[in-house]
Amino acid sequence: MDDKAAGNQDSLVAKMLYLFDQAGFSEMIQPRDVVAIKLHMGEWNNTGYLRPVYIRALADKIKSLGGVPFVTDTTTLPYHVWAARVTALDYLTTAERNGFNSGTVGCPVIIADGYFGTDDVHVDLPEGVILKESYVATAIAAADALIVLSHFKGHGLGVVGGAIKNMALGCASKRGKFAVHGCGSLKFGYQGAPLVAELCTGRDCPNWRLCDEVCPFDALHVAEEGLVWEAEKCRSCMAHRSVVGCGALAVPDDLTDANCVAIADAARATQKVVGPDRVGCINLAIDITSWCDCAGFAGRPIIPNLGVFVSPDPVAVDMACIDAANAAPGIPGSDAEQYGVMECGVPKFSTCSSVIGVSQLLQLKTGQKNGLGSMEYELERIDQVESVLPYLFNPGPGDPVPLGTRFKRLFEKLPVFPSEGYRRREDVDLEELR
Amino acid sequence: MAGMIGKVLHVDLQRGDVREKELSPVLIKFMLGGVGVASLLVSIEVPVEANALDAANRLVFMAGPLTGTTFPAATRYTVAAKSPLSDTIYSGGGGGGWGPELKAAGLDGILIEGKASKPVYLWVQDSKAELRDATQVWGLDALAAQEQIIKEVGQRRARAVSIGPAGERMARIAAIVGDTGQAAIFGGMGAVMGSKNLKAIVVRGHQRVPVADEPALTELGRKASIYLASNRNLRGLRAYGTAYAMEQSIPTGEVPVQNWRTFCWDEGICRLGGRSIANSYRRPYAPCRDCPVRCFSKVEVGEGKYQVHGVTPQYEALAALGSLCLNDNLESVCYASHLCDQYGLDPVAVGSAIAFAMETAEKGLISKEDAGIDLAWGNPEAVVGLTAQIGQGTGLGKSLGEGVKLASTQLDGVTEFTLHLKGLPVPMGDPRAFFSLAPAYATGFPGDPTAFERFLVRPRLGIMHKQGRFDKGGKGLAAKVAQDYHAMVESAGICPLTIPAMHLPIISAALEAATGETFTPLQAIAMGERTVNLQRLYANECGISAGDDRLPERLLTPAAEGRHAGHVPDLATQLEEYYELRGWDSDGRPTQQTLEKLGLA
Repeated sequence: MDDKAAGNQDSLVAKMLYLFDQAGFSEMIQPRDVVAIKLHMGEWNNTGYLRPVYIRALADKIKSLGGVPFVTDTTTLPYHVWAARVTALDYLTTAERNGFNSGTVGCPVIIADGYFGTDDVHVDLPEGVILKESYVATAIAAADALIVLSHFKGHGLGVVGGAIKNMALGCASKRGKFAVHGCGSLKFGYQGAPLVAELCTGRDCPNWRLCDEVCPFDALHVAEEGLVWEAEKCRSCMAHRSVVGCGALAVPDDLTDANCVAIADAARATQKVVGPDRVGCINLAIDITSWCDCAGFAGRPIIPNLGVFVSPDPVAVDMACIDAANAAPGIPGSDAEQYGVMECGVPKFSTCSSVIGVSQLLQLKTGQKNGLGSMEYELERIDQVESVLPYLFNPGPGDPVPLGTRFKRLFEKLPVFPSEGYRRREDVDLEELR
Repeated sequence: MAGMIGKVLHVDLQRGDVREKELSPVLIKFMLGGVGVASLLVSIEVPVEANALDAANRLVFMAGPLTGTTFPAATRYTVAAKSPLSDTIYSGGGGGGWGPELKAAGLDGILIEGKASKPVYLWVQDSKAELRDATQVWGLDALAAQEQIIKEVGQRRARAVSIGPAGERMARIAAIVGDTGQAAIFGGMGAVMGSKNLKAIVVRGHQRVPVADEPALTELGRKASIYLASNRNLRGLRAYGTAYAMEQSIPTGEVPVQNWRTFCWDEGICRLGGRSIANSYRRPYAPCRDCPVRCFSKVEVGEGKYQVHGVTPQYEALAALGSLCLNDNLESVCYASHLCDQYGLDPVAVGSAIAFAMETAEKGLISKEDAGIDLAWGNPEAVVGLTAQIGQGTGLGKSLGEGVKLASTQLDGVTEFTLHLKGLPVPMGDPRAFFSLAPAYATGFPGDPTAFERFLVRPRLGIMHKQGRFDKGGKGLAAKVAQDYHAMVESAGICPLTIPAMHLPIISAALEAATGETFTPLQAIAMGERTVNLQRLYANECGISAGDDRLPERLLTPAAEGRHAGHVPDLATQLEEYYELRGWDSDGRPTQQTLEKLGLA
């Protein structure tokens, strides 16, 4: 359903809940089922993440079905100095600031992989294209059903951030995330990174201590004459990336491409461990920025809002969003203009989101190959919800009461209107003001 | 048509005749300007059987519709002629202030024909043009000659392009030196200019370039300036100039070392890189007006054996005079590069020739006595000494100055390490490190396909995403798009170094604003495609076909070590893809259908 609205019946919240039923997710949830609502709650100072109202509405919906919902996400890798969700403590602090806690969303907020992201379940993945195993955060793996609520937008590494990415890195524990990022890979990981030690000026560099101390595994040191790197100690934690600015440790060939492939593999692991028939994907394609909510900002969206897309198949739902994004025009002044993809029919994310032009279809093609889902889909466009009544505000049980009836006693009791009437002029020259 | 002025100066040196001729709007609409129009004029005016160094050859200088407008990085002019190295059409572009000054003088271009009976230079001031005696400056180095001539015309702000002693002597690897103070136009164009006894062209103008929609072009220029100043892919270029490519290319093994046969030389390449230069000798210098990238700089080496005050060598010069000769003495490379600017030589051709000489000496095919210089690999004395010899046409320099191809004919047993592309030097990027370079080199038109291979997405042109550098498919496409793109921006008058920040719509919109004609992005790129095909048609007539689209054997031999070890492009398959995308037959000729599509039939 698209995001156009002419009245209460067109609220995106109403549309989301309506599609939840239409897609059969209600039947998926049995009474007493524990239902994980997987959600990205936004990085510190990010303003593009989904508003808490969507989540509250979803949690209430699940409760009305007899399910036991909880809202969840996982700790991140320490990508940079300002990362605000690396531990559960950091994450919950950030989530509170962004408006998410058990009070606002109406159910517990749990960080699924524990305090430092070590609480996980191992999943064998013989069908994986790159990854042959994955690690899914325990709280998600343990859930009876999983609702993947994704803010669809671009992502610097994954190119698009939708249902697949939310199920992959979003549901993986720390070691699961490291695996996706090429940890231990001699070809795609930093263990296989080309080292150009000569680019490092050694201890002549004013910042040499940073590089010397940054590696938590002691793989990186700065000697008098240059960088010393013990590849076998490397765990691809990427801690060095924001520090080594001289280019001495280069990015391995095809690292980003391999990441996208591994993302779809990790998503497959989540789908497997929860059960393919117990996963529902909801993509809210709004505020579609070229950067992800994991950045500490949200730029001008690159295309207009597309609406809400729902499917049990994460590949299909992302594909439908990508097709709709391709067909949409770019927004003036956004990255779409800067990168020259303003016109309808032109792919947007490979150009605007990936720093090096990685294909926006890599995740999806891999997902099709490893059994995660299908890029072929049938799009059923629904213009309106059948009845708006279930989604409207109703302060009490039973049928809604007419306004006059409800507030009659309050009008009598409280001085809503000034007793002397309003002081005003009746002969204002409106024409002049017009 | 606005943007272009519609006038080309025809200079008949034989008769000393200078007259303005109209450049028809139909022709401009058809080929835009710059390399497009220059290629058309050469292919019409120069008979295929003409010898490049004969009076029958024509030398065409041409600016584009955006050259000299307020659009940023629009400083380019193209020079085209039949090349004495490749014996077919060659075109090369230059930046700086000469192109804008030419437009300000009320001209789009200059066509030189015939040969002057004695050395002359051409002085153009606001549509008034005259040939002046150049006997006084003949023999001077290219930079001194520019200075002298500008003094002589009495216009401090006049800009000159010139040749040095190498061009005067018609050494085939001679270059034209731009007003940036650096050898800029290669392919033997300096020799062609020398063959016409033309030392320099000096221009000065005061007119504003007429554009159709000034406010629109200003607004587009403002946007483009922001892109140029902020684009992440130009970060290195803004900080260090093209020299940054030395360091940046190390992790892929793209920089050629020791005549393309050594693959691990990080420490040497690092010593020659942009950062090394910035740490020691770099001084600010911005010869291109209004360009926020400012990739140029000067070097000042104030002490030691190789003292030099000149323009910082570009990446290609650093690689050719440095790593290609296994020479990690940065000062000597800066010195030799400056010698190239003074003598008017193509540093890539010079470096290639020196590396060839060094390998010849290593094999014992020339003795130390014959050479008169110790040609050991990496000897900075040899690099500087041979550069000077080539510039002066003395000793070994006499034959090396004719290019590797001709020099190799005088020796036996050198085929293995005689590396050239149809007589032209091989550009300084290894096709084994980035496979897209193979079809681009083999077919010969300039353009950087690796940008389209590794990070630039252009969906309208079929480049949907980044490739792997060793991928089998997609390389013909990257080569074609890079060449078309290059030809388009050089026709428009924009610097090709800005391509990563200049997407198609802003170029076509700028063309619309400047010319007042409709240009869709695809129409703009078609201009480039037409130019490449036009040059190919001429090359076909000069006898070049699929059989000539080859690479030296050494570049198709896998490296045993290094960062592209074991990888080698499958050129035959790549060319098949390339020809098909181009609409060329298996013999490498544009089909009738292609010509009709491009309006070249």
